[in-house]
Amino acid sequence: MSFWLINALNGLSFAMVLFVLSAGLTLVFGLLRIINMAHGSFYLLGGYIALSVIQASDHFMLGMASACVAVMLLGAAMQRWTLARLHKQELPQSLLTLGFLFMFADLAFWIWGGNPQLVPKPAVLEGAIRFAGIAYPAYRLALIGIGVLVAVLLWALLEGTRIGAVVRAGMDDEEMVRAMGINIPLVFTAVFAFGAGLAAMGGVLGGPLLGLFPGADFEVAMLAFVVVTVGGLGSIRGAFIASLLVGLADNFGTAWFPQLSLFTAIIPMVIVLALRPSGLMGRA
Amino acid sequence: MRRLLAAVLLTAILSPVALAQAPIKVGILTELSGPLGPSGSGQRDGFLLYLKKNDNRLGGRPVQLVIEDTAGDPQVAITKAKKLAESDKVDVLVGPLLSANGAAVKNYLVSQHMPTVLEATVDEVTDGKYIFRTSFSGNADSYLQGYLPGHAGYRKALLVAPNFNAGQTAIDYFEKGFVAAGGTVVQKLMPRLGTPDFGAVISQFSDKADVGIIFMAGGDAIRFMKTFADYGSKLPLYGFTATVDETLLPAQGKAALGFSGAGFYFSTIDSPANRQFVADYREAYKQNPAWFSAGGYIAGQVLGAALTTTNGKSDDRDALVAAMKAVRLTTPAGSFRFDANNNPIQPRYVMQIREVDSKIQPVVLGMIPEFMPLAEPPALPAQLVLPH
Repeated sequence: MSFWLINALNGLSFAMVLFVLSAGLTLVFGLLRIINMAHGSFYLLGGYIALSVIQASDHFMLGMASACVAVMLLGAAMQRWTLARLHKQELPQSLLTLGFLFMFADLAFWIWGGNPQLVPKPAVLEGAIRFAGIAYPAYRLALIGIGVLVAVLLWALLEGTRIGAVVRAGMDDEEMVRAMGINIPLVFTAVFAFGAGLAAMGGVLGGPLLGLFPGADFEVAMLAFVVVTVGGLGSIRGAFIASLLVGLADNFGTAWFPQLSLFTAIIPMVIVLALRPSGLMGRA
Repeated sequence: MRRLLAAVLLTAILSPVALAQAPIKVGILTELSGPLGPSGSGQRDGFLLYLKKNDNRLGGRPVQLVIEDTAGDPQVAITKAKKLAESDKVDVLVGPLLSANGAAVKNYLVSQHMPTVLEATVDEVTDGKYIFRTSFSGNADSYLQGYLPGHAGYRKALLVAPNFNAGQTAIDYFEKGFVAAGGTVVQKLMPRLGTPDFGAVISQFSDKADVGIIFMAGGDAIRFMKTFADYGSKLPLYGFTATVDETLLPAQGKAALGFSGAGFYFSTIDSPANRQFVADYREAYKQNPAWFSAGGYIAGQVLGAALTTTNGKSDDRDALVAAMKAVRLTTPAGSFRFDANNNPIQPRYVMQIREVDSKIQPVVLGMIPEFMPLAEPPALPAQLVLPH
């Protein structure tokens, strides 16, 4: 019993980190049609900025807020002044974001050095909570709650607000939205910045688990790409379901077949791609 | 890309000796970027510190450096090794830390008769003639990490190491050592290198085990120790001290407390040579040296002593490697010499991570004065009390 409970909770908490990491990536792809290779950099920079702020101020929330704002501004600048010039040229855009990935990696190495670091957890969430006969880390329980909250807020934002309606319309038919008199370039910049901010949030929330080090940007981007592929490019709902699938598959896979752990996270992607190449919720 | 890879020219100071002698060309080929980048950079920094403390000279000759980054990739390592040997024509080489890279360049360097001092720990890397090691032998030290908890009285061990060749070696020799000391292994876990979330691994830990013997490195080591602490487990941990090395301790914090193991170097070794080394290193690089930095410094000492023996001559490669083989040194890590396979014979320090003066650090509990690099029961001093 406790085996199932612990691994389910492990899988869920990891899934929530995956969701926050990949939500921005899929949103940006859905609207802007950019495969953002630098998405992992936003994770890394967000985590590092939060780390520095938390070390200076001792406030987790302040660290999270400043990381999200700083990375959103960075994302906005990057989209507005470089990517926007290559509108609808998918390959040059991807290559450009790949260049940013290398630049940001060097920048982070230059500022924060190469030693691996962890974002500190909020003090109230240190240690383990005992319930149902198991001891379980408090921070991971909180992650599950936060992940669900982020998912609900994103859903409400996209489905229930005018901005969300514009974004959804832009995903379906950009020209028509433009013709309706909506400033779509501004929407593009805002959505790209928002996606960057989500990745930074993933860096702060996931930082205490996944860590910050040169190369973390690649590792994290890899996981996010798996989730987005499984879920279907552009679909938030798909990303949520895919995060759960990948998180749980990776956890139970590692628990049952530790020797196969190299690809337990990849198995869902292989199966989904074989049966539904556009992903679970993808519209092809 | 991470670091400027341009050749660095340390200008020779004009003096009668320098005028008389052409510079010796020293190549540094190690991991300056990638997952092992921090470690390889520490190795390079240790070597550069030796040069700085010795007027940029080895055995009286001014040193001209060529620094190359393997980026942690064996393909790159072999290409750069060829460049250093054939195009830069270096006289001696300070070689890689990553075992895969050491193995990749070994045969080529031997064919070039290149005197090489490296830190890769996989046993096959040294050849007994041209390739020297200043760190430790993976087999012998894994055996020791397994032997110690068994000797301390633990009887049922679970073993954890990453799923790649060095991790497999560690698991095999942990088991040999632990069994030789009278224990049995109840569980072996080999998570993948770069496991994002160790929760699944740690929740598998067997209740039967009374000790865990661990090998983790870099980012994995931080995540592993932190996650282990989060789950509130009370299992005592032994293992490779790379799991809690001094570049990782600031991030691991209290999660590293209680980890025990043996290594050839810690910044807390109490000796005049080491106090001086730590002070110099801290002054130059604003952080404590870890074992790979000490290994780089010792590489400088080996080359310096050998070139002094040959009066600075490096053309006769066989005479130079014979002089390297014969060195007897006092290093920051203690007394130092090579065995027949060019493996270092130097002390091992048994340590536990403890909090002293509100600083989390390796506390040296005892020393094995002359540790032979062999996978067999070590001669432990009678007064050594192991954590239990």
